[in-house]
Amino acid sequence: MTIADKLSRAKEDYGAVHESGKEEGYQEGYSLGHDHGEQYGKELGKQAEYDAFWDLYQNGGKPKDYSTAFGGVGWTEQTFKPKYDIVPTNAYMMFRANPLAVDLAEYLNGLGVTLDLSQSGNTQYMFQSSKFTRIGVVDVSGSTNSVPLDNVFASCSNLVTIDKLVLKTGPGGEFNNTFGACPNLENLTIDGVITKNGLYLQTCTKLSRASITSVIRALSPDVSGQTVTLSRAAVENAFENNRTTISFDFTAETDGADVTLSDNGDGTVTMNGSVAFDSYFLRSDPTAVFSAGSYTLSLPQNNYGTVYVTLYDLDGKEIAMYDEWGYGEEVTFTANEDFVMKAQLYLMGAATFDNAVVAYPTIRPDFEALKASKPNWTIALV
Amino acid sequence: MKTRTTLYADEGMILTDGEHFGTVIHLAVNADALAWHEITREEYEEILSRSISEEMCP
Repeated sequence: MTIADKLSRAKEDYGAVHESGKEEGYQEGYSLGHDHGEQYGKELGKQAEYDAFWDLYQNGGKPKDYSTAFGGVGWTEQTFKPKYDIVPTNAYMMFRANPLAVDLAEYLNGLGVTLDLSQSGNTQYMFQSSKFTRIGVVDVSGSTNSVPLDNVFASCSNLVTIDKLVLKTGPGGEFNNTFGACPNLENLTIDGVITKNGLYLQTCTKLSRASITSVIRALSPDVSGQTVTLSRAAVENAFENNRTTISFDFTAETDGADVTLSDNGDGTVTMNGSVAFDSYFLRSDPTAVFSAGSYTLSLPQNNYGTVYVTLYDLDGKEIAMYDEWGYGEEVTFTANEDFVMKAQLYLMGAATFDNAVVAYPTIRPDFEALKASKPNWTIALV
Repeated sequence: MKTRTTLYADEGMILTDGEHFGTVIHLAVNADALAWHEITREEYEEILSRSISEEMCP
């Protein structure tokens, strides 16, 4: 083959390859474009469908009648995706039997929307039998119902937390079976004044001390003949049985002490050795913060010295000091602000200790003082 | 100074004033203790289930 033939042949081959490549390129480009276009089209279609549905269902985000809107067992995380802030003018049975076992406040936050119930005229049965674990702020201050919280949380078997419940007093009262069958409710903060019978929390056996305190503080001081019902187990667990040991940290303040200390793990410490001087302190560091409220402090007596407990505010200023000689083995006090405590054991005079056991002081929230703050209410525990 | 009276139900019994129930009742300072009487726990649970079935259906 001559050079001229070779060049001619190469030109033909190049042309064939070029044509072939162009054709394949077109096909591939078409396929890619088609697939991409199809996917893009689907997404646009879904978005258009989502927008059309929620624009209509939520009235373009304006306040609207949401009665039964999210109620029923058919809602899933795929379908419950509100587009706008939810502002009901009517929230009657709005989430009744909603099956989503989610933190509703977080869930809505994740969707970038809020729930504002303050404009709702009808609020009854709002969350009844729903499966939410947490509900944010429930504001029924705009309710026109005679009993604004009628059955609102009844049978919410998963419900642990209601961030805040803003009350309104209706002609018939605030509550009716509001918390019936809420066995897991722990956290409840009430904003408002309770004026009438109807608050039954007997099924809420896990209600926290802060929640019980919030309920009692919300009871009106200006009414008579009214009763509130709490779970006896919840009160016992939150108060009587909620005892904290105030440990010593075994640090000697006075030199010349030769004492070995052993924490017995049961609220007592065993001392062996001797001290040469008149005073000797074992001190605990004030680290645990106790919230404002009433407490009963137990100051167990021992044969070796005196136990002191000093309260400080969070700036380190001394609020009060208690000891068994001045106050007996139990003293109840009310702190108006959060506080920390330091426990001290004062050993009097030179002494030798041979397996001497000393009990730590303990503290527990005091239901008696809380109860006493509302003497006009009967408090039933069941 | 008036103080509260506390009523305690006997074992297996529930105190009621016809509307409220409890095993321990911390009466308001002016409340009438005679308004309360004991019923059995079975009677209490029957009243409770009846009232729940009435209240749960709007």
